[in-house]
Amino acid sequence: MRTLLNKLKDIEQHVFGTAAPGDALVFDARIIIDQDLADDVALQKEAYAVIKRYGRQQLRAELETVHQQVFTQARHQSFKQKITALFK
Amino acid sequence: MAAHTLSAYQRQQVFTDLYLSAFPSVARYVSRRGGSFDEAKDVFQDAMLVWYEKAVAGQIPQNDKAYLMGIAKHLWVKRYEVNKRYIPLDDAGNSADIFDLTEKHPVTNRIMHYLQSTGQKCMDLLKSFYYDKLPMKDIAENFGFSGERSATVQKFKCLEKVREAVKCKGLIYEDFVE
Repeated sequence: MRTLLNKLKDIEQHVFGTAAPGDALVFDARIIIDQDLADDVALQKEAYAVIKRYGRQQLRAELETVHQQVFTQARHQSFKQKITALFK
Repeated sequence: MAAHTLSAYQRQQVFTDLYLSAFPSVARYVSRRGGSFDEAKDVFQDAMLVWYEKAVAGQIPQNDKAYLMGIAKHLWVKRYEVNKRYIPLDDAGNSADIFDLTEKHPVTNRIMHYLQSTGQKCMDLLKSFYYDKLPMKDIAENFGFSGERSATVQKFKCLEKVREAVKCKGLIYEDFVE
C-alpha cells in the first residue's frame, strides 16, 4: 500500500508541476520509457477530471439552494420584487 | 476575502451576499436583451462557478460584482447572441478558456454515480482538497483525522478508489455506443 501511495504522490506532483526540478526531470524520462507509468498518469488525470466534475456538481447544488432562499425568504422580499419586475 | 478558507456554511453566506449584490445587474442586462428569468439565472450561476474556481485558485477579483457582471455578459453573448441559439454551457464547444465548463468525459456520469453510492465521504474529502482547495489541516479537522498526515494518506487511498472506478468503468462497450 505504501508503494502504491508513493506512486500516486509522484504522479500527482508531476501532473500539478510541484515536484522538485531534479525529480521532475527523472519522472519525465521514466514516462518516456515506461508505458505502464504513462498509462497510470493518464488514469490519474481522468480521476482528477471526475473529482472536478463532482465538485462542480456539488457547487451547483449549493448555488441552487442559495437561489431558492433569496427568492422565497421573507427578508429578501424587496430583492425578489425588484428582480421579478424586470421580467414582466 | 480568502475563499480558500471557507467552510460550506461560510460559502453559503458569501454566495448569498453575491446574489443580493450582483444578480440584479445581471438580470437587468439579460432582461433588456429580451432574455428570460431562467436565462439570467443560468448565466449568473455559471458566472458564480467561474468566480469560485478563480477565487479558490488564489486569483480573487478586486471587484467581485464587476467581475461577475463581466463573466455573465460574456456567457450571454456567447450563448444567446452570437449564434442566436441557446447552447447549454456543458455542450458549448471545446475552447480552453476559463469559461469552458465542458465535460469531456461522457462516461463520468456513471462513474460518479457509482462513486457517490460507494464512497460519499471519500468524494467529499477529495473535493475539499482538489476542488475547494482547502488546506490539509482544515480537512483533517473537518473529517475527524488525527492529523494532516493521516488525512493525506486517506486522500491518496480515496484517489486510488476513483482511479480504480475509472479503470473498471471507463472502457466498457456501452460507452462506445452512447
